[in-house]
Amino acid sequence: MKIYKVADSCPPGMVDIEFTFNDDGSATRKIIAHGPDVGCKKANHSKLMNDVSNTRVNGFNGPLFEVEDEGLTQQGVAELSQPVAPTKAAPFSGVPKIKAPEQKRKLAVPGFDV
Amino acid sequence: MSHWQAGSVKLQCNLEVMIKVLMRVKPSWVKHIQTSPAGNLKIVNDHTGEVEDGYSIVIRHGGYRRDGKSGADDIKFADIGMKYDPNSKEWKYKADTPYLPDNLKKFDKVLTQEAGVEQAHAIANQLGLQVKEIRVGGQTKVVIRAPVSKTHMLGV
Repeated sequence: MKIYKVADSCPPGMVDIEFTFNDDGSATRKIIAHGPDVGCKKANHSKLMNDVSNTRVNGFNGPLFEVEDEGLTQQGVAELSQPVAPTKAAPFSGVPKIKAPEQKRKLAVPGFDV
Repeated sequence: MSHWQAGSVKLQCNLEVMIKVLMRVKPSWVKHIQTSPAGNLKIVNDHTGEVEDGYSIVIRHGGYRRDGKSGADDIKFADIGMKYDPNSKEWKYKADTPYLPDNLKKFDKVLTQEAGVEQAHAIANQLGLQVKEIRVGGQTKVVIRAPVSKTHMLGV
């Protein structure tokens, strides 16, 4: 599997889905929408996140792990334009922060039987 | 005193995926892993002299071995054996966990974490999406860059 270097700034119409896997076995996921992207404002991020998470992958027969939703994070343009990464991003003022209800769900990724 | 401890982890993945997961846990184990889809491998404990049969994955321990084979230096005294139980849908293992390196003592948690990372990479690969991996301390982030297509717009 080739690991690409993803640019710091996300092109219009794209979002980052960030999975975090901790050493206690827990996992979280969230969507990061970058900048004042009109497409991202109108996007159904939950559906996108679920469609990606539930993609069938050969060799896995889910549910594999429990993951907690952290919802949507909107990163502002100012943060991305900084030559040196700031410690804390200023929230993007044009888009209200959407917070998904906290819930635990199973990632069902059926593969073939083992 | 070295003794095997039995454990299990609820990961529904096949043998090939589990090997990839183990490679993520410790890439250097690649030279010391044996696999058998039929599940007829033996594990040995050279501290107690015990031998057990019926495993589909064996990671050979390093140090002194009666059979003279090479093994992983960071696994002391006793092999790690793993097999999938289709009834409980768990991977069961035996390992001398107290003598594993500190970051591997919670072997089930480590496997769960790395299986999640492997699965996220496999999803990105399957969808042809860009992916990056960031490891900081005991935490691994996998970021998948996905297009917001028309099918993911509100009201469509």
